[in-house]
Amino acid sequence: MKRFLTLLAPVLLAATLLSGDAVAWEAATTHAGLTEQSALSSELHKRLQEQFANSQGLYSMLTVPKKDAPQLFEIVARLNPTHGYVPDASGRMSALSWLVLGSVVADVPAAHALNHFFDPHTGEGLKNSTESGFTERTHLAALRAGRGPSLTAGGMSAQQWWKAPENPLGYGGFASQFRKAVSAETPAARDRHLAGSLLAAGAMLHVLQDMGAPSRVRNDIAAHQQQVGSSETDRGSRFERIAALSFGRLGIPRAKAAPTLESLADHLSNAKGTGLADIVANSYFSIGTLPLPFKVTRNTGSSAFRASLANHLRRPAPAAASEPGSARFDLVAARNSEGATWRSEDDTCLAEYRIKDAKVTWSISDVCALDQLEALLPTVAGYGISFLETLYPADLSIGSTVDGTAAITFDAKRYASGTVRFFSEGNDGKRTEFFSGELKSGTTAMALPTPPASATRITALFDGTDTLGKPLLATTSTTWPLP
Amino acid sequence: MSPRTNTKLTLTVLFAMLFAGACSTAATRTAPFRARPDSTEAGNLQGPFSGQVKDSASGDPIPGALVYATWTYERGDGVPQPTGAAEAIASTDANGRYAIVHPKGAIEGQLNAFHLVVYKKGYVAYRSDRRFADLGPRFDFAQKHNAVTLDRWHSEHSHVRHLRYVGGGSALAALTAWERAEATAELSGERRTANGQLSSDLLDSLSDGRLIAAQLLGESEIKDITGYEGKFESGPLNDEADTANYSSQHFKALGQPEVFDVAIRLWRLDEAKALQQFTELAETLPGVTERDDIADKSLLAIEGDIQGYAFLDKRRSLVVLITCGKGQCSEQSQLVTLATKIFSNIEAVGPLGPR
Repeated sequence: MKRFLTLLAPVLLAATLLSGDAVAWEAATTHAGLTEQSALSSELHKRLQEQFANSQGLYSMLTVPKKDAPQLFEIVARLNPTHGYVPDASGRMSALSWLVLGSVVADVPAAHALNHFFDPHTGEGLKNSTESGFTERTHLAALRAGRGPSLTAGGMSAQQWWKAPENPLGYGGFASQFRKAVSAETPAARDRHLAGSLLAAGAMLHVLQDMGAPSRVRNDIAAHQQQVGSSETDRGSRFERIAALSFGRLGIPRAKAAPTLESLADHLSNAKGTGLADIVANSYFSIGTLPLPFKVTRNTGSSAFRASLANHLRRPAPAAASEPGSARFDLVAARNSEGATWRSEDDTCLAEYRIKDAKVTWSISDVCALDQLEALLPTVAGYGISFLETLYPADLSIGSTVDGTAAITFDAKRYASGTVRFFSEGNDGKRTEFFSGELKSGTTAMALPTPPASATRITALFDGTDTLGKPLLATTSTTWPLP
Repeated sequence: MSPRTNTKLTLTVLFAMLFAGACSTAATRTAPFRARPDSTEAGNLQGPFSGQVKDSASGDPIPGALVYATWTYERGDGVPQPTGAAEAIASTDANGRYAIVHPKGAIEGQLNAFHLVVYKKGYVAYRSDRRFADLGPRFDFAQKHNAVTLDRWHSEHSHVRHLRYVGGGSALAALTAWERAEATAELSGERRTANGQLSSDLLDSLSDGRLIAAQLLGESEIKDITGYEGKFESGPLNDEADTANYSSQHFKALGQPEVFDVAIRLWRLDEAKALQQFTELAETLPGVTERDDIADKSLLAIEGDIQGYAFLDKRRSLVVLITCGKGQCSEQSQLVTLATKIFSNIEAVGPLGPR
């Protein structure tokens, strides 16, 4: 844990030295609220109770002593405690709060946020695709001078960032903490590492949540350079600022069920197009990737309008389906001063359009953005549920076989090969490893070696790969002798 | 009103807030709340803040409610990076009134937000930014003369939702620690609030959290009883750190000698150890007289100008010792009244249900 936090510390500390353009859902409110919604709607509470033997699940109090992570606490001390993710003076707060804290500090330092983009059409992270069309480019160049990370610098894709060694709160950090949360000798050490794993899980979740913002999955830099405050230098994503102001932390809507996804990476993007980035990129416009303006005449009918629109899309989707009625364009209303709204099949505002001087132009007003957020945020929270349940799987179990012997069972469709370590625990809560074995592909059960006589609890840790070849960590714990 | 019209109205207000700041100083954003309930003038994030807390059903003032105020400081354009936070803790007086001032000392960065949370056990908490019922934005918060009405807690309310709503801060976390057991049960599908038996069981509720000494007596309650008009500086005593079993609160009379101070020590133990602790006090404190007029056992102790009163609450396994100098408690009866007040506050905070 110390090493993990030592690695994290300078990065966190650097946060206070940097400033830059707004590149994220607001961490203190939107990310925190999304994480709370996902965690509270997921099975994580039960899994912390059953697999980590923390009887109070998400409300278990976990302590990270300040001396173990002084720089982390220096940063944490700058956060407002009112949102519930600042530990007390002894470094103690609930498991849920550690998870939320991870999702709050993932943007720290601001340069890390440049890696929270992913364009599923190119597989790349942030590039300068929309900037050339941005009218205030010159102004922004001056604005950026000497003020921290620039969006034009680009970044690695969110997919790469999750597993990048330079990301202290990526999968590597999570896995290291997860292992120690199971294998550490004392209950206090295990709690400390569980807090560390939750911190990293929250930060990874933050990256996934960012895929819910259309500009991040459509490589839209311009969307992140709008003026969002009274000061000209107060720049950021107006869309994400609306989310913060409208929903705050507490007002994030309830999560919506996510599709079944097989791996962590699938949550972000997959071949079936059901990853969050895939869905959002294909279903929404961002302000800098709206259709280009085009000419229309008094005689332009609906079909001709659709045809012209198809030729003026900057990206393949969202597109107006060719079937009449699938997305009606009201060209009469579009000529009025208020214009008209293009809505999706589920009645969400995609864009507003207006015909003036024989030209149609496209926009996303604040009202339209809010409409999109009301549809997007529950979807994002839903992916978060599935993501957390994938990070903390529950399909390992220790039980009695038909012949009465104890065994650990695996789902051969999911578990490929890896190491299985067994730990015993006595009444003092001290855990020691008493056996380690290799799981071969296709194996569905492994007999449990006899634990020490003093054992009152047995815990197993699987550390290997799944059948897709992706890293997989899983644990299970039970009282001993078996109930 | 259609949802979309409602949305538009909400946005109008929100974006008035978003672009507010043109008239503010560089170091402080414009407050998203009014200066007073009857004015249209924007308030000041810096404060001072004042208001009154009442029971929404009876309209009676609520004394002894915790009032937790925080200020957020940030730096950077667009993506603010936190530079610090300030907090102030107060409790409502006998008339339910509170007054909050920003603590002294400069904090780096721009003052960007202020939050106020009011909590009293037995009620749904109040936040200055959001409503509990629908978690929607609150627009009726005012800097001064703020009217807070607390709804009484009902068994159908969710502790999971309430803990999320209350948020954090050490004092609030300590006061709401008892709710974690309820929230755990609720998330585990074992909600135990039907008749309030387990919900109101202080011993269960204290199994993980801490009843803190600061919760037992407010400054205004001391002043009401002793007639003292000066100011106190309050915080834990320096003799022993707060633990899961022990908590202290020192009311240091500003600019006055020690004989004007009041101190409370609270031990939370199991039944046998609580009795042992009380016996130890009886044997070690100077000038002890057994009284047995508060709770299950009580005693009075006197040494010079300092007098102390201790009692044992067997049902809750609590031992409380309050000391008060003769400058503050000029009459012994005042000390006894303070101890009685503490006991009644304990009963109000954590009434025992049948075990």
